[in-house]
Amino acid sequence: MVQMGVIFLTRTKLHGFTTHSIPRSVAKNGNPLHKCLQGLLEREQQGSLMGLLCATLSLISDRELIEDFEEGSRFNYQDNKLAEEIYPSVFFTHEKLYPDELDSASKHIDAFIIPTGAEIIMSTRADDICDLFISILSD
Amino acid sequence: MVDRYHLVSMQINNFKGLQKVELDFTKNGKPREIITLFGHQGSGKSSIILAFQWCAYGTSNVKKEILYRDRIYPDYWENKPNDVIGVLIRFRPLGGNSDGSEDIYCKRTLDPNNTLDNLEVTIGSDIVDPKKSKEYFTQIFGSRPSQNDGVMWVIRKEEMRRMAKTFANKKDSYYLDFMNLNVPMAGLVELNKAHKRKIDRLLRKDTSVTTDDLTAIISKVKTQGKVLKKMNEKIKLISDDPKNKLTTDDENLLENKENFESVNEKLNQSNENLKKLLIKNDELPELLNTLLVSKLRTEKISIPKSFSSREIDWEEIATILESMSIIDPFVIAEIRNIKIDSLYNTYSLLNSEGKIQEWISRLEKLKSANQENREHRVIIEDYKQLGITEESTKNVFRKKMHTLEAQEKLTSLKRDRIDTRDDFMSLRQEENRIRSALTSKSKSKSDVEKHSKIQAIIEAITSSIEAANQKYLKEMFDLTLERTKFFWKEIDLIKKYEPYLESEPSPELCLLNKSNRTIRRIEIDSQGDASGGESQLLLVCTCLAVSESSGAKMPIILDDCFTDVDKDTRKKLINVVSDQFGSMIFVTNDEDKAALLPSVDKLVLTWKDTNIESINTDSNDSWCRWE
Repeated sequence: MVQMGVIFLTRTKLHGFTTHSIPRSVAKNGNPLHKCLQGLLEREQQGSLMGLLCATLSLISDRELIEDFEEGSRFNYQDNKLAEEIYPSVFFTHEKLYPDELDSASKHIDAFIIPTGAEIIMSTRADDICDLFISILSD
Repeated sequence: MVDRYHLVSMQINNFKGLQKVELDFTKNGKPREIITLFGHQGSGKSSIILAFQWCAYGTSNVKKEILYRDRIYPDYWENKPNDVIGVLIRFRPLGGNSDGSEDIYCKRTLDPNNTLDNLEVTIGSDIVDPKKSKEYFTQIFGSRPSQNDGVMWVIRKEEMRRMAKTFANKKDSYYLDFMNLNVPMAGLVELNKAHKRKIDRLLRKDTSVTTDDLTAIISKVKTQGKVLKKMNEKIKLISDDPKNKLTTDDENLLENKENFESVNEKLNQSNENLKKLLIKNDELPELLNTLLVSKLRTEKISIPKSFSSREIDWEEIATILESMSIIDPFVIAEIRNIKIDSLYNTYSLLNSEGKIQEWISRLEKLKSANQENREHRVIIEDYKQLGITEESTKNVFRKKMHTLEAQEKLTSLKRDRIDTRDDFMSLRQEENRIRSALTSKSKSKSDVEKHSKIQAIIEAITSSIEAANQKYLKEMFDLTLERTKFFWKEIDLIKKYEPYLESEPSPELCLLNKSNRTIRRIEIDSQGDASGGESQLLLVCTCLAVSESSGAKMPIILDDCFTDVDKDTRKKLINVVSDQFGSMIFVTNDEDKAALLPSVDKLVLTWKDTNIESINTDSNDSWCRWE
């Protein structure tokens, strides 16, 4: 299990990534965050998949969640055929890992889980993310 | 120049048998008109005459001639020069001062260390310069015969014999020999021949080249020169072009190119490999599911099997059950109310459980590929820092190829230039050859013209001289013949004949009978019908006439040449010669002949002592005496 440092992201700092359902940094148009994934993912990623990647990273890591309530969830997980193959798993896992969460799953994922995942991508090298994956899979 | 000279004295040193002889020809301080030289055979008469002749004409280098150097040496010298040979003759002009102030001293000497004679003339007490001395010698003694021995003022039997055989105004005649006109003519003829030879030689040198050949070759040289110049410019352009030269940086680039390309190739392979291993869009859901299921398993959370509304169509099931009418409509309504959202679909999660190992393996490969890729990128970056990039190496390689092409082109051009230069040089050589030939031709032409002009002038001069000579000689010959007749008339006492020149078949001196016009030929070698006395007299007259014509001023020497004429005629002859020539020497070994003129003193030579090798008048004062 890779130990990741917790980086507290202020609302202002995350503003750019949380005004939409997925962080702008991992959107198709490309930005520094997306570049962080070079060496791991193919460049042209679909936005919804990137959001789900952020969510997965957050769920599988032990990172303390950061919060961003500003935007709320506007992400339609069903707008992408590939996303349909993953988002039930994300919601299921979220339900199991956060059984006591009072907010709806969507709201919590949008406001906490995805921003935390984006933070992990921003603060972690692709190699380390790869190591994290291998570590999770090897447990 | 006076007309004639008298003999005053003579000094002889080391000439033949005369070691030291002084002869005085004067009487009471005055020169004698007639000198009778009497002496028996071997007394030295002929040596004295030869001493006169040697003083006049000098030493001969021709062995057969009587004045050949070995012949004039005293016998006891044994043919080797030992001392100075010298003869001094003192003359006084006819009617000259008796004090000797006008006397001319002609001196010839031969030093043993010299091969040439030395001439010296003194007039009174003044020494004349050498050139002038030579002229005096020629004027007094006349020119030396051009072809044979002989002298015109000594009349001996041999002179008379030759005169009889060759008297004519034609080539090789005894007459012409003494007239001494052949020398300039021979010189001119020789000169003319030399010019002809030169012209022939120059004409043979002529070559077949023309100025057209020169024009053509100059044009070729120019064309070839231009080609060569262009080649040189091209070579310089290529050599000087920096694009055709590799710099030190280029060399470094080329040195590292191979390693760089190897690393770059590895990087490209690594990129390709990485690209294959990178997680694609359609693979991502499976990876994420695998990760989530792993997480759930780690957290020991069970995953129930669920179905999504897409997997089970509850409405269709309700419709089918309703049509069967065996199920309670309430139940059917409940079935219809089942919502898919009420359960999370775990199908994908469960389905991805079997993919974990695959993903571990895939991710490890991806990680390794990333590391490898990164290492290659670092090396490539290092190269980049040194300016070695794919582009720069390609550029330098292109430059190298370009340089090689340029070098190849340069080598080819230089090779061609050698050929072109060789052609150019051989054309230049040909041009020089043609120029030289033309110059030579031109020079030859000009020389031929020059020599032709000279030749023409020589021919004209020769022709003129020949014509003048012919005229002069004819006149002189006629005059000589007239003088011969004069002498004959003066001397001959019979008056029956007169000298006559018979021209056919060849010129011949004869005697014409004045009364019957018959001819009597000279008796010589038992031929001819004239008497011995008549023949001798005719020849003596002819010799006297020739001597007169030759212009020599030397007194006549009659060397016992009229043995066959009668006593009265002899007397007459001596008197006539003495009258005509001013003075004379009559040489005889006959006492009767010597006594012909009782009033004339005789210079008597006596040499009876055979033990004496040579005459020295200091010690042999009895050798000669006047009687």
